[in-house]
Amino acid sequence: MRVVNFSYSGRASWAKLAIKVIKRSPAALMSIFILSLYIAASIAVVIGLVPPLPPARGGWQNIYRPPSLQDFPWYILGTDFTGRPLFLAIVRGAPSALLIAFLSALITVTIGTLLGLASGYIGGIVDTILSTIIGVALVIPTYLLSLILVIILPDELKTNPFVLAATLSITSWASLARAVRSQTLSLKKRDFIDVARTLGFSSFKIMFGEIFRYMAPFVAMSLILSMTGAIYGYTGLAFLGLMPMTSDNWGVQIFAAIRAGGALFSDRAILALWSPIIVIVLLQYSLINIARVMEEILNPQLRLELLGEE
Amino acid sequence: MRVWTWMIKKITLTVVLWFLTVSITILIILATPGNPALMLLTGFLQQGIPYNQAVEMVRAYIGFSPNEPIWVSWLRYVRGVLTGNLGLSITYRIPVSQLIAGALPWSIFFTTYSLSLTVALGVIIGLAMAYYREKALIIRAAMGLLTIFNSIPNWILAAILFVYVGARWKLLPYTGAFDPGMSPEANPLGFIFSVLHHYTLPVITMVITSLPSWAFSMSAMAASVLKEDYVTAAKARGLPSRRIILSYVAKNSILPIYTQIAISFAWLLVGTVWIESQFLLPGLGSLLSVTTGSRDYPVIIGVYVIFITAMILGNLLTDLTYGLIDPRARVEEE
Amino acid sequence: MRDVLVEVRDLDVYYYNIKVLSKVSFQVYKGEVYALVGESGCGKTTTANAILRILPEIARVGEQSVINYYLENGDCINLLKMPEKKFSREIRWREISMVFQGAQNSLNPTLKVKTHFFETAASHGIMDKEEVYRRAYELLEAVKLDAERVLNSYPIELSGGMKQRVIIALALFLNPRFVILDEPTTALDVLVQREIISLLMELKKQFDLTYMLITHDIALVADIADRVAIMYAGRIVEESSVENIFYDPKHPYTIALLNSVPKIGDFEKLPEGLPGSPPDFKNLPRGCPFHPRCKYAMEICRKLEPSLIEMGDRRIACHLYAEEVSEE
Repeated sequence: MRVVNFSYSGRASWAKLAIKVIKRSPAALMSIFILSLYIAASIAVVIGLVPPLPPARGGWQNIYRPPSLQDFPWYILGTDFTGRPLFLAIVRGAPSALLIAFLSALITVTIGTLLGLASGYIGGIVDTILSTIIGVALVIPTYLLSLILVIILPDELKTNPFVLAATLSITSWASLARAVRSQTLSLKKRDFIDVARTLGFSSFKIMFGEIFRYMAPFVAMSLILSMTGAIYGYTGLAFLGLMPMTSDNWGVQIFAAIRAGGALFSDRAILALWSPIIVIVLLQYSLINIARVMEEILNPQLRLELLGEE
Repeated sequence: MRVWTWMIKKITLTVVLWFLTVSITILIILATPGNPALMLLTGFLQQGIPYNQAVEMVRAYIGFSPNEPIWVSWLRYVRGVLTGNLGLSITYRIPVSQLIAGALPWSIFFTTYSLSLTVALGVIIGLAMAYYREKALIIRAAMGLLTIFNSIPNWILAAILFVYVGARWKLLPYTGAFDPGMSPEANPLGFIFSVLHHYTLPVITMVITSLPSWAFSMSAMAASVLKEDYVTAAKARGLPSRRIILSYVAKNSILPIYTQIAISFAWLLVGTVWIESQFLLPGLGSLLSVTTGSRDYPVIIGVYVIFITAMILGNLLTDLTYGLIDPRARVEEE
Repeated sequence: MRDVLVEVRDLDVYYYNIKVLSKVSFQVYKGEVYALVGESGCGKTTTANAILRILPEIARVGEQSVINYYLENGDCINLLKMPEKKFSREIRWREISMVFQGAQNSLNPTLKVKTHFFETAASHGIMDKEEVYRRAYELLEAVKLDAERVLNSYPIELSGGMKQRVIIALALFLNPRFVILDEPTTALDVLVQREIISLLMELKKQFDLTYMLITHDIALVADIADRVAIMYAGRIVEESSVENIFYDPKHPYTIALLNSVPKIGDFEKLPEGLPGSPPDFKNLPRGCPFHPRCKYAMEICRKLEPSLIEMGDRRIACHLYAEEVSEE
């Protein structure tokens, strides 16, 4: 396997390469576009461009009303289980979903990388202790633990995005930590670490400078993929009814569509069933594709092939 | 002999790991705000039960009392786990171990069934994808389709299949593990068939959402194996394609991803929580899902312990058997 | 007139639409050691793969290319035009086989050595396992290995030299007449190299074999080759007897190759490198492919590709000598 040091190429050729790879794959293009839409929607909500949700209105005549042109465009999907405009609710759900996903991924990746680096580089008793911790965390699936934590947590904490993000990433950092640790171990034996040490770089600097820079692409990919896991957990737990039943949680909408909207029998809540599903699946799909594109860009052989085309 | 010492070492380490994991889990649950013992106590007090009696009831149900320091509760619970006493279910008022014993076989059946199909199909599709890389169009389409399947959370697919294929179009059974009235004693063959019939949708859900990652891993592995010298050498020696695909490509591709089985197994187990509850199947997953709704902590913690045990066992099994099937690993261990 | 065993004529090979071999033509005489020499990527292995018809999926062979093979009974067949099944059954590994770089990865890591023999035999219709085991045993002994132990081992348990001997034994399994040796000693220790080479020469005598040696190791060529062909950018640029090539190299590339090897005892002369970079097959220069790196390059070299012409007892593709020939 040819190993290429990623830091030598200038930034310009990175960008050019990225553009080439992306152009080759229409799916990648679409994914980036879709993700940008979600981000744009989230920003729009946060800065106030999007109106707040009107108060809930119960009653059979108000929930799951068919689409209408009223207050365009918020009622184009009709209303949800609280009588509020569905499209608005979905759009307003974007920032929390993205935020929690991103925070959770950040926690996962930070803890995973730090522990893996420390464990691999420092070695000795530190490694033994950390490895045991990683081993334990590796066996406990995150969502299982999140399940219990979420029902135990009191409501005020449950709605806090940071707490939620932490719950969703409680043990998901483990597999990354293990991978980073074994990478660090094999890198430790390589020459450029000895060179750095001889030059007088402190251990800390070596760890983060050299080794991390080498693994940065891999870590970036893990970040994206962790987001998909967090979204799975966040919407999934809502679907089990374990989250506060707010309109702007996509999983809650699906839950309500089946339980309260009679999706089993009538088409009344059909939009409320399918819109959040499509929104979730599209987001996951885009994230996965982007991760795959990143892998392609960072694949050394492909790089040499494409760059050589000039 | 060396193989045995390695195995024993591994098993010992695993037991230690199990102990640690179970303990830490219980500790985490005990340590979060919203101590289950406390909540249970509050619940009893709200029902008007006098304090001391309430504390006793809590201790009977969960195995620890709300006032103890955490480490005492933890010790008591761990001792309970080791002796098979997981407490009483609050909702059903029968021993947790009994509930689990009833649900466990169904979960084992479901996960094993799904896992075998997932791995088998994933490997075959992955091989095909690597081998026919030239026929770009079909491969691209397959990859696209698989990526879409990979993006669908399994509980969403379960919901969709439940609503449409099951409830609306009535193409396949969508609730329960077998037709009501069937029993294994009265009509064993019919019972088996009914069970398989009822598990079709759930298994399809699991398999469709889990096999993409297997297909992709296998495809990547096989693609790099195809470039290896021993494959060209095999062709030069006149070996037929079938032999090369099976003994050269497949055999060498599967080995590195064999340990993924443990990970897939864990993921499937977690998935049963949603899938079993969606299709109203008996099993640990739906037991967990039902009891989270009713805050039945003894059951929850009990199921949890079983899940962890199952996953650790799964890991152990794959690690042990890997050494048996890959000659390279055997040599390296020495 | 010596007997020709293999005749390659106008061999063109394309990977996708990139031409990697261009009008390669040569003859291998029965009983000789014919060497193909050149840098990595010059096309020597591709030529060997073409003869054995194990080119990768993406490869195409030119329509007018011919590879003639002369059977024991004197019949001549064009290997390229044979149907695949027939070729696989009668020629591949039976008449012509190949010794790969064994120290690398030429054995299936998950199969025991004896399984390699069993499956090779089975693919050629020999199902009698005992017979196969016996023959494998004989061959492994012939290559100086502890047959019993090796047959029941996995490749990972064997050293580089041992694996190489297994590869040799496998190559001789069906009694071929023509064996291609593809870098048989690269990646082996120097001492082991010597052993393998003398073993190969012994076997050649014992089994009456003809060798085609592919290598970039010039010392090895000097040691055992009878005739040598120098390849560059998918073409043969010079071919002659080994003495001629070493004592009287004519093509600039040959000279440069020989000069790049340090001579023991000659402390004044440092080995000369070769300026420029290896040829890029996607973008070969006009005219002679070597001219950008040739210190004798002339105007005509930049415009016209020299063809391989006969000059006495050698063939050479270089404009420097074109006049000599036309003068004769």
